Amino acid sequence: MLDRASTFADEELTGILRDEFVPVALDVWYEQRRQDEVGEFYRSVVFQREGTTPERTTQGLYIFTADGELRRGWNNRGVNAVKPRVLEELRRLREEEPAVDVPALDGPVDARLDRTVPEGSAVVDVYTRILDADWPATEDTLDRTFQRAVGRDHLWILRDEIDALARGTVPSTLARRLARFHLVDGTRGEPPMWWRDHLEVCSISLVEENGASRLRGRVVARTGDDTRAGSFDLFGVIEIEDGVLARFDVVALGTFRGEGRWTGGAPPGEFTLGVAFRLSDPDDVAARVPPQAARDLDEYLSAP
Amino acid sequence: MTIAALAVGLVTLVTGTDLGEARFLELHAEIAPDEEETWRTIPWRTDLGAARVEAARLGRPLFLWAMNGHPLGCT
Repeated sequence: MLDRASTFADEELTGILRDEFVPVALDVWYEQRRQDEVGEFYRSVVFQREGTTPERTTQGLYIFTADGELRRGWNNRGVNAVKPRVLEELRRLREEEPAVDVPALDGPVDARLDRTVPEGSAVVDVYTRILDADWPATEDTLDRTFQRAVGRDHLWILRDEIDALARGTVPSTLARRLARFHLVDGTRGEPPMWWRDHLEVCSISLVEENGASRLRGRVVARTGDDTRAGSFDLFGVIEIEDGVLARFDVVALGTFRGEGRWTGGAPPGEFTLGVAFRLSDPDDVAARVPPQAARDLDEYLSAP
Repeated sequence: MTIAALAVGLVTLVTGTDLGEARFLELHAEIAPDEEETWRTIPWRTDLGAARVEAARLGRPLFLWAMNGHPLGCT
């Protein structure tokens, strides 16, 4: 999040990355685990960075050549930490002959970690934002950036669930998937999801209103130890044309409290959390990125 | 009162509140980010194997943004 709002908001740096590099964005969780040629190549690059081990995360930024020579790897972010490194390394690389031929990594893909969008499914962008909170007063730029942060994710709606929506019903798998894995506070990092027994209320339905299919719902979730809780009302407009989901504009608006292991720094007490859903642009490369909760694919799809 | 209107009324009662169309659209726009954000102008690749071949063909180095949680998704 910080990278999007700070590092890659710098026009000069983004221009250099566009024009001088081949930029790649990856989820460490998959790349570090996958047992195939691409995974081997990933590990061969990142483990050249001093201090990295298989037991530790390889999260960071890396500059390397096509034949796999790591030139720089680091995990200090913010534009002032990144741009000087990129510029310096680029100067050095310009004085060298680049690798011109590398073998394709076209062996079998590790199917256990393949997260291709299921055939016939729709991909929905999910955005999360804290709309109102009793934040401690601060003049720190990074703190204020965090307070305005937007969480991103994707929701998959399966073919048979689209068919059910066309018949005017919200299938329980979709309702529970949306509630358990997407009504979470992902504004500061990887959020903890709701477990199946955390859902106290999950009621989402469609009603016809003025010729449009309106989504209405209510979701209440709470952890067993009551350290994290959310209570949401949902509103939306759904359109299906010739069996294709053409519009999925939904807002979940509610109160939330608590944080997770990787989402520390939540506002104190209850705060207002908004979650917006809309169909992804199929031409956007980000639409291929799987939902965060799809790491456990069966759990995500079946949403018990 | 039509059945649909009755259903809306019941749902409204259950949820305790409702949004008008204008407020719904306003909220949706308020939560979703500006699609013109600078970081989105970078042509990120998500396939390391293909990116490596492309880098060799173009004679360019690779720049990797690796995060716990996909940088173009949930981080």
